[in-house]
Amino acid sequence: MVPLSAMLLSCASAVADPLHAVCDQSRNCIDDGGLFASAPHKSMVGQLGLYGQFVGDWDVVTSAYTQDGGVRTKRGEWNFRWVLEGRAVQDMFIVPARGERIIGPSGEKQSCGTTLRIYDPQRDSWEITYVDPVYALVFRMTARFVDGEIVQTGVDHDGRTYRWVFFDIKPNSFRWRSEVLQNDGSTWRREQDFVATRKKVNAL
Amino acid sequence: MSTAFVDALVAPGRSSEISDDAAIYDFLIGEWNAEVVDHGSDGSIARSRAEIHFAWVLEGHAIQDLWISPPRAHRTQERAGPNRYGTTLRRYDAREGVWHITWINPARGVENHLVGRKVGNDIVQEGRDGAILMRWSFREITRNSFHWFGEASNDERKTWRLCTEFIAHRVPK
Repeated sequence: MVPLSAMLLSCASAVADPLHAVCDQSRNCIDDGGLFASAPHKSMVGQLGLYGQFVGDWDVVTSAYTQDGGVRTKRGEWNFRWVLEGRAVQDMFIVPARGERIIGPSGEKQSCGTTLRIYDPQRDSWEITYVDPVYALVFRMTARFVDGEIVQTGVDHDGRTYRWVFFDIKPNSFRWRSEVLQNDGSTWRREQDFVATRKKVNAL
Repeated sequence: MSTAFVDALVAPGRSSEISDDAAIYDFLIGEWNAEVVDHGSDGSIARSRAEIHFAWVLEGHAIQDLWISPPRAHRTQERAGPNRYGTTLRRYDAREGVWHITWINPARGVENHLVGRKVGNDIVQEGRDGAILMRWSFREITRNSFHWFGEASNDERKTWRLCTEFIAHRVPK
């Protein structure tokens, strides 16, 4: 079994080799190529590019807009990989970034979430699932490419319609915003805005 | 590609925020081999093999797994059963005392959402796919083995049809 001390290690910690601990238990564990793929599946290259373009490591600056007009900014990391024989894209969203995280209850939301995205050829859309322990629920969205933007739409636990949008997409940068549909049924209120920049080591 | 993703995704163990009682999937962490039996609705049976891997992820707040059938070493061969190369994310919901489960198998375009809980000595996961109710159960659980049943009901639990079994054994370290 994993020793108690190891259980406290996490994204927040500066573990030299966190995988090693897991691989000790599992000779052929999740990192050894079983999950990850080096390229999109050859049968789906064209369709998978929508999210495949993000594969790599990114720095992200997040801005959250409060109801009273304030803005809160944080720095984080956002990393995308091909998974499952290159038929899906999984990402990790970590805000604040590792190394800047506070261990223990800080009273502040610290995201460490992951998203799985699979393409539905029948509907020509993407099914998105976001899991983040910060939130009690799993977020499920359907995504489409509309006028140069990737629009992911879902309904939250309280019945509110929201959309998470990738926009201003360039090879080494993109922006992202989250919006909630207001009670009038037509106005969207922006809640968050991210600016992502590809890490230099992976620059094209 | 850097190791940033793996380093960030995989956690060395369970978060201290998940209690021993809630940690119903703990025993699965590690590597398993399985015999797979797929039962066709016409009574036909297809037998194949699978490799299964479980790891703690997301600071130990969630578990991600891989179910690969046929196993990677045999994926070029002709398949006896359905093609599975999928992953599950399991995340504990302390408010409801249940686990939220998302299974995706892009090899067949499948995505399912279920809720898992302990029932007696078993782990029972239920979800809906249109009019079909799915029940996926871990039964006959020992330290080094389990028997997984995938069942479906189209009459709101009155009857269940057995669709798939995984008879799994832990790979010795």
